[in-house]
Amino acid sequence: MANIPEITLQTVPMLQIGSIGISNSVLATLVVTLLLAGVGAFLIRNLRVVPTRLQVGIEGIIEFFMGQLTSAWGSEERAKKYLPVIFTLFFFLLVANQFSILPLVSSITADGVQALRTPTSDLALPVAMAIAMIGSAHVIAFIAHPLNHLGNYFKFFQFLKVRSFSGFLNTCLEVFLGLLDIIGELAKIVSLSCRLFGNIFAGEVMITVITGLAAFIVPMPFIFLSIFSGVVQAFVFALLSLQFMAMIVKSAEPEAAA
Amino acid sequence: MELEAVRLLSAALCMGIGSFGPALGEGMIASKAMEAMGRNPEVSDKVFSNMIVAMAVCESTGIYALVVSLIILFVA
Repeated sequence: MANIPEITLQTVPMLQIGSIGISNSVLATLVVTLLLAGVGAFLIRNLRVVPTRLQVGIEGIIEFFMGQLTSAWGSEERAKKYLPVIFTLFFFLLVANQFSILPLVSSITADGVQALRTPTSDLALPVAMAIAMIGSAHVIAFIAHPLNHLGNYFKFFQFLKVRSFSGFLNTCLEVFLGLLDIIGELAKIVSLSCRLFGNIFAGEVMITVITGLAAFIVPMPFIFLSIFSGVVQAFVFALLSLQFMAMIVKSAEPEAAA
Repeated sequence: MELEAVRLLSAALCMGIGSFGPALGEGMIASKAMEAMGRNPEVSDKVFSNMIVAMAVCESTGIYALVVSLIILFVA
């Protein structure tokens, strides 16, 4: 068991800018961002009416997400507003989850630690993304319909409508459930981020352990499994954050509340 | 028992018991989705993508168990 490398949850700071340490996973995030920006610039340069293979693939993915967004939001117009953020999320995660299978990446080391670590195998990035998605949905809903949005969680004004004792009890329950929904929103963030982190980190740990046991051919199915789960998780994260955003913003609209 | 032994045991138990429910749930989702696809192959694309999302949601309790056992192993 001696040849299994050490597995850690903590990231290792690589650079120091002022008082801010830049860890190896943040470095890898920057690499992924640069890579995506490069691909994007290349695609825009080479946009054709008769598309290349890459263009066809990406257009297919955009089409798929457009369909999902349209069914979640109910209209194509509103779906178009949210397409860029969801698609960027998906594409970033798609590349970031597969970071460890990029050739030569894992052999770049500094002081005996990997200089680039798969971005999503550090809990910080998924948590930041989940907070950004859920938080921005709440901000959008609050700006659009402030009273309705707050009314979904604090239902105290419903006491004014109470006519009977059983109505009073029902309203008490409603108010309690409304407050419980606040915890539900926090749980959404936790579940979104832990799902992504857990899947990717578990895949890495499994590959490390299996590679330590037998380095030849045996790890191949596990590597394939981890690639598959990385793709699925990118897809799931984008789809779920899309559904959550649509749910939060739509529930604050007056016609939905009525 | 020593602390180290308790930690290893509890991590293993957490994972073993925690993966029981999600496995059953995912199996049910898959079997129902397969049934639906077999009955109506035209909608299999739609069913498949919904199945993946439902499975991921179902899996989250298992992932919580995984995160807890990782915390037991590496942090605490």
